[in-house]
Amino acid sequence: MSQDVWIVGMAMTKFMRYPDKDIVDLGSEAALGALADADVTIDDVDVLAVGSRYDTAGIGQRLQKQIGQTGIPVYNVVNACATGATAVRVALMAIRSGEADIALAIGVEQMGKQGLLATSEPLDHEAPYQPAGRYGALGSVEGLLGTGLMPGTFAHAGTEYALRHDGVGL
Amino acid sequence: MNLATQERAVPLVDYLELGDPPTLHANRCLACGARFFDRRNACAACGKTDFERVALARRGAVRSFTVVHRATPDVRVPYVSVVVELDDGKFVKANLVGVKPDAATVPPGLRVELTTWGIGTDPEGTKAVTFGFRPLPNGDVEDSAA
Repeated sequence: MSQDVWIVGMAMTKFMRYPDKDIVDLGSEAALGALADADVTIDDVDVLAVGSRYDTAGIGQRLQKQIGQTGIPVYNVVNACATGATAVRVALMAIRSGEADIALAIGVEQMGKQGLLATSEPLDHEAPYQPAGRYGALGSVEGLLGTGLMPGTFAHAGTEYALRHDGVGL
Repeated sequence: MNLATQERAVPLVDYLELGDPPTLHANRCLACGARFFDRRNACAACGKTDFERVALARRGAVRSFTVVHRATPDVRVPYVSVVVELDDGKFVKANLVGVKPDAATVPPGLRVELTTWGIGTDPEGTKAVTFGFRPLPNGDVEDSAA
């Protein structure tokens, strides 16, 4: 299928902390901004796709309650760093398939102060050790078997890239 | 030293076996040879479903690395996180010990060997043992008992 699909409107909120707004406020602001930018209303939208990595409790439905419950299909997607892009792809595929003429994709996150250091429960020495999971682990291995958190993971990726390219940056 | 016969000890992860010497193991796909540390339903490389447990090389060379300076309070910092390419080609992530935790002291390709140490004891007296890698003594001078 080679039919052209156009981005007819878009909007985003500024990246910052919003102590007085919740995640639905942020998503609504972006959605209403995009609709205004495209000069359409929620009644013109045939499909809604919403991506949020951390808020997975039906964020799409909660957004619909604020921007218009028009009876259209809604898709909630989660796909790590590609979560918002996946929402765009769902909208794209809905249009390409002929299901929708206009689709709305929203990516929204309110991360608070968890940063990128959140980890699982540390190894508990107060109870008998009990192997669990696919690695038969006694507990979190973070900091014991290297690091698997995002800053360290990307640092590893960076040195691996350098090693493959004449040590650039090392 | 055989930890298992001296006292009750359990490995932090089940792919570490506390024999003499302690050795890492992997689940090897019988069809394509891909090796995995975790239990697998099927091979991520070829999709086949039969595996055998195989021992891995105890020596290798540091590939990617990073010095971690910030972590949650239960994690001791700074430490060096490394991915080691074992001499049999398997990659494994762990801590590098026996070096200053400074990026300048971790030359890429540093020759290392497996080492283990205790990280705590539970109320029943069982010791938890983790593994890591340390530089081979005298740089690249290796004995033949790998």
